[in-house]
Amino acid sequence: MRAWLAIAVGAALVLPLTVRALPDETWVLAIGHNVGAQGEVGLLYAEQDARAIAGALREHGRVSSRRTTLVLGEDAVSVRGALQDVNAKIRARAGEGKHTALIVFYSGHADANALHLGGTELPLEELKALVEGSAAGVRVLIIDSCRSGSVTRVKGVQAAESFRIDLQDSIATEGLAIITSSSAGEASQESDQLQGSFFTHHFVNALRGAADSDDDGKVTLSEAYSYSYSQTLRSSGQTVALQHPTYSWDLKGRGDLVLSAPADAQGSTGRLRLAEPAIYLITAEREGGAVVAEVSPQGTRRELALRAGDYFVQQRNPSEFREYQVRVAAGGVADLSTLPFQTVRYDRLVRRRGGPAEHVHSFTLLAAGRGPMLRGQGATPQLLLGWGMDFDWGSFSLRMRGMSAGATSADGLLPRRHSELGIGLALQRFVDLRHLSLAFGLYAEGVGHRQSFDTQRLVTGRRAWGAGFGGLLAAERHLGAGFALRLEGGPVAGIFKRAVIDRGAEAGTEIATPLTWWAAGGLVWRQ
Amino acid sequence: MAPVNGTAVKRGRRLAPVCLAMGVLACGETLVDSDYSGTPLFTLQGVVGGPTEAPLEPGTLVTTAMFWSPQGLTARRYDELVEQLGTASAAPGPRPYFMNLFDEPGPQHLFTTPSGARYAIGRVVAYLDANRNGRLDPPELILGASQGFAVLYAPQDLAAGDSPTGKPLRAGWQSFMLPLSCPGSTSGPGPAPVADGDCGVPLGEPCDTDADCNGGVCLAELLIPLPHRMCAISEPPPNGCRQRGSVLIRRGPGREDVWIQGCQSSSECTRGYPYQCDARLLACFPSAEVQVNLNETSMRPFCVSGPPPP
Repeated sequence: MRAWLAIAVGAALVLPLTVRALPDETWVLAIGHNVGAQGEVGLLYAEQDARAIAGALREHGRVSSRRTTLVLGEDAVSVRGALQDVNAKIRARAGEGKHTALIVFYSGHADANALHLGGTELPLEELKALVEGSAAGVRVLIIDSCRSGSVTRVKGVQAAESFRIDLQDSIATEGLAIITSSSAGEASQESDQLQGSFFTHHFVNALRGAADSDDDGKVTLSEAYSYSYSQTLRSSGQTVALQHPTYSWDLKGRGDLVLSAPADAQGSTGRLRLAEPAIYLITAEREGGAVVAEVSPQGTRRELALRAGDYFVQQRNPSEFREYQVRVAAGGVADLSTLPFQTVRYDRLVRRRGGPAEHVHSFTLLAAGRGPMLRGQGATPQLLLGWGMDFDWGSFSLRMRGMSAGATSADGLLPRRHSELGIGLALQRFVDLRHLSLAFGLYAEGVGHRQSFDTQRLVTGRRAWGAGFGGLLAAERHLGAGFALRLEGGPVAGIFKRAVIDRGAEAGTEIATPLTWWAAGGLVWRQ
Repeated sequence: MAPVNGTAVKRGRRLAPVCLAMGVLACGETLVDSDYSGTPLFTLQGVVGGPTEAPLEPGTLVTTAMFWSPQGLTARRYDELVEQLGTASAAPGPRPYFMNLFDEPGPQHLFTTPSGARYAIGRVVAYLDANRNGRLDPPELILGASQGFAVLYAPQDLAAGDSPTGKPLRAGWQSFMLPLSCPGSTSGPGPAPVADGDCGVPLGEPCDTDADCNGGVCLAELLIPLPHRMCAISEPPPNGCRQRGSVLIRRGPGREDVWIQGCQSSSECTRGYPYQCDARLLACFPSAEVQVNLNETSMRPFCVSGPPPP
């Protein structure tokens, strides 16, 4: 089905079609019910979804508020009555020769056979018959509910068949279009963060302009569906269950139906021109405010119609976030590319639980120095390679440290080389400041020691295994492209077997636990 | 044994896992630091002592080091000796000393005999290492040396004709008393009597009186003081019995010669340090303690002409 969908949507994008705006006599019936049948978990945002759709069509589709009906929390009888009332009004206007359209939206519980409206049921076939039987020239039925995809299958109207419609010939201004938020058998999901269902949220954003793939400033039915489909699939992909919207339409004539014209923002609405293609999170007023939109704008225009006001915009690029504070003026255009922004790296986002990723990988290369672990050793150069992960609770890294240093005996006649290879684990907690990230933590490692001697004296090479423990204090400064400069240091203690020396000769064995210092600097790359 | 109270026992039990963990964390061979010089090839110990003419302030560091004579037995002055680097150690004033030798003497230290055999003979020399560089430099003052003792290193076994002691020597390290008899010296008194008896005298054993020596004599001194004394047989023996394997030590005019325990190696000597098998005497003798005399700033020769010295 996805292949057919891609072909259909692709054709809709590239073929030169005539577009027709919604007629002035467009009637909207937005139905929402948070309560379904007995035993079904109450929804939180179904009625809000209905308000959002009605508002978007009113603001961006220029549907008159006088012809917009909200039916919230009502039973099947009321819904049926409201739809019959609207049909009666449409029939009257159609009789006057006016072009008419009907858009019916439902958000709430349902099953394969009926809408669940607070303990009552409205059969899907009846709903469809009421819409299909409307006198409106264009009838659009949008159902955002679980298993709503079954609607597109009733009476043999299979979803697959609908995509065989040649869009070039048949996209029309008359007929019936049905869009559902999920396939038959799938659940439709709502999100606390989005304060609504995935599907409705993306459909509203589509109407705001995010779906304007051909940059004409208008959003057609096929653009809106295409955008809602891809974004709902993406959003649900981050949950336990995928959600595939479906559509079926039987429209006659040539052209596409324009649902909104966000480029013609009027009244209290302004436009936000987004920057490079990315996912944008827009919240009201400030970071952490109510989510207004999570959009992935199509085309090159990338404009979104929003009510005038202050917004926090987070542009989620693959390697970093850019955060803007934006003011959208009524009738004006706020262009992100001209506004200052703050760059927030993914590791910071993970650490403050602000990004979509649960962790970030890091690779570390440090050159280091360490104080003496053995008498006469002096400071020794070290090389450290590390791989780690940053989580919101902290960061860990696996570190491999190598060292090889020469030294001589006190009499200067016994040159030796001491090599170490340490493999350990570091646990750190970051504190992110404006320009700097500070970290503190602990690490432990197992160390293999090797001592070799270049001499004619009676000595043999030595191999030993020990351990190292230490505290870490680090500072990181982001350089760009995922790289950061890292400086770290702290106390370090070792444990190993050491010879007790008497007058130059080995006289015994002891467990040594020297305490010294560690300092390192280098690069960290995070992905 | 001191009583162990309950608190100490509990603390010990608490620390046991820590010790166990540390033992597990630290395993394998031991690591060494800059104090380590290797496995000693030979160890000398003794005492640096005696009054010195040098104006030494209290606490002045006296350095002792091994010096070898490339001229063999003919060296007469300190400047004819060559210091072996890495043997110097410094400590204040008169004191016991302990010297580990980690290197064989180098070619610059060895003496080559007419037959081509090589050995190194040397002394422990005490000096003031003013610049503390671990070696004797020309302006620095020599305080003394082990005048009565020598150290010998032979890379290979030495035949009697090549040996500075006039007796065959095994390869390796030796220390023995000086002076030696210079090559070509006139022979001494006639040949020693044959010692082939089984006298029952515990030669070499410690004693307090002659009664402890079962017919022998208990010596407190023989050339040098004898720690814890030593049983010997006087020459001529009162009962005419000379112990088989014993060695006759001639003490010079006016003093009684004695028979002491003979040996070929120190393992044959029943008494521990400072007793060893003296390479010159081939007898068990307390010559392992090499005395360094600070009261003689001019060097005694390694050998003397004339009859063999006592």
